[in-house]
Amino acid sequence: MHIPDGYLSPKTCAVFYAAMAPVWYVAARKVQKTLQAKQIPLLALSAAFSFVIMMFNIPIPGGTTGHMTGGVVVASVLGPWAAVISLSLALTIQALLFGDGGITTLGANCFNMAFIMPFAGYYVYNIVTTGSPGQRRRWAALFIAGYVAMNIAALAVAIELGIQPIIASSPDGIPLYAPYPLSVTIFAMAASHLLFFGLIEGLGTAMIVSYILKTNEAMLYKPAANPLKPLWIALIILIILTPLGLLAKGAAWGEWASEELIALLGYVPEGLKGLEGLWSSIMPGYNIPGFNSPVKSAAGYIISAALGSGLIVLIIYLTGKIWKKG
Amino acid sequence: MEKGIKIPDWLKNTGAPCSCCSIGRGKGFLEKNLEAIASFLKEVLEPEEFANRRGLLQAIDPRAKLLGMTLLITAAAMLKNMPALAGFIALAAALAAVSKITASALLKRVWLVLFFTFVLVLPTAFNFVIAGDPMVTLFSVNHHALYISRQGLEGMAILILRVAAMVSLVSLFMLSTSYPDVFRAIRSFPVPRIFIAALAMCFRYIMVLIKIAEESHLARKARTIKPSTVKEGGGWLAKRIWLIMERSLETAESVYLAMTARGFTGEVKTITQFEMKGRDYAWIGFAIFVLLLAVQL
Repeated sequence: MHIPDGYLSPKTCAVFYAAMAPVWYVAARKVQKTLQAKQIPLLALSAAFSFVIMMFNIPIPGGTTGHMTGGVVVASVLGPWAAVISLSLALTIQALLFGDGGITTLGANCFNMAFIMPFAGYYVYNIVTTGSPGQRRRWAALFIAGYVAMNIAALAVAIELGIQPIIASSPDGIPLYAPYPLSVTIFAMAASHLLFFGLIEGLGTAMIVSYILKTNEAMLYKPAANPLKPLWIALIILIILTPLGLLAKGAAWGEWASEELIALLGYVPEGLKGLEGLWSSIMPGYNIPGFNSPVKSAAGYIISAALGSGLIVLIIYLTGKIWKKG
Repeated sequence: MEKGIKIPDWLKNTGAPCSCCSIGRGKGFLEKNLEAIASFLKEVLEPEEFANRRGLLQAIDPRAKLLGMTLLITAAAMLKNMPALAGFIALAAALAAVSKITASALLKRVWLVLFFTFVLVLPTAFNFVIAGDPMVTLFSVNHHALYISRQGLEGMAILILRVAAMVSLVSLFMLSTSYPDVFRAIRSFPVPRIFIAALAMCFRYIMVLIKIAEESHLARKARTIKPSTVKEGGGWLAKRIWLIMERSLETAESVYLAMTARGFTGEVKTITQFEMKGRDYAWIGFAIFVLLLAVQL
């Protein structure tokens, strides 16, 4: 799960550092608001706790053992935002002092394990335990939360590694960073995490948190009412529906490319012609370069939509924050 | 033998090893965790020895050293050809030599990730992953052939060399810098002070929590006669993890109270005066030069 130095291209590393910067900022502000001056020792200790959990071998059926990342355990005690910071601190210590995971890839590793994992686990747990769950459902919810969170994080790792041959290859097709295409990385990560690592994470999460539930429930994080939930659900539905756009013919009104402008007007206005080459996006046409078949194209469309909408939500959220402050 | 001590039956019946799985033999999670804790403590203490030696990297201010190393790592990340990457490994070896860091200490930190990378990318040398010009043909039947392609081999070499170069440089920084200096170095980077304070404190308390974990595992190991079942073992470990969590939250509270008693109001203040010396400038200049070269290559 920890991506070492050298596997991701500098561009990818920069993108993930940039993506994590606002997450860290918002997390720090949220934590500051709720924990105030207590935050430093509490974050330090919970980061130390995350680090120690990651070291433990958890016994699993069959007599073997495996490691867990503990992202969901930390999120269930501290809440997802504080978990972002303490897991990031733990990952930083691992990368800096012990060489687990790279320095250049720290942004990506934090994105996968300190952002996606606690949030995915937290929301999955809340969705499964809606209503008034009994002890069994809670146990199951914890297992599913750990399992799903681990697999979503693994999918993120697979995508990060799998896009490397597309974005960084030498002219004669030699991959410069992680060499396997998406089809291989997704299969490999899915197989190992669906069958093995996800189970360890799920089992570990269920064991630890259900013990806390039994003995000292007050230790667990209590979320305030979440008015954002319907928004999230609507957003997810929209993202899933976006491939419908593929069925519609023609370009969206006002979004004509040069060729379409020629067909419509017979010429391209000079001013537009000059501007066209100015910005070539990372995912031209809402697609990931190299995704040509219809199925892949739909997948690319979903990924593009998820990233795009995530980015927009983030921008709106940050603007709101700054607005409120001003 | 039977005269003095009579071993009760329940103690003799320790549960025969299961023939179909590994229950009852080999190392259980207790032994593995104790081993992990021991190797962790060894790993923590080892770099201190090298950091105290008199060498080139040890003489450079930790802040300048971190900046320089970051530039060098960025340069290594950008390189696109094998000779340049090999040059970086030679540079890392030279830096290790002039900093009196032994090859074995450096290799110990690098070999695992290198081995992992090698196994991971080995299939890419063959034409079924990366097709290209055949170099060594293993077999060829009709139109199907299995061969090692030049492109595949080159891609594999580039990734292994890049990982070797980057991980060696990071390891050199860690081996030549003591822990307090590492945190002092990060402080001069544009990272909020709260994070740095929490990071340094986190490192300190990892030791405290590890000690609790070690003691509880040793106590359990000392009282273990027959291997526990998965359910028992899991239950026990869940309790220990809960104990560690409770201790960490309690300690956080006490530390906070102790800090408040000493006048802490939530703002982190540090006494850091950054005075660059000639050799620090030279080191950063060298790193920038290498980075610029790497951009050109």
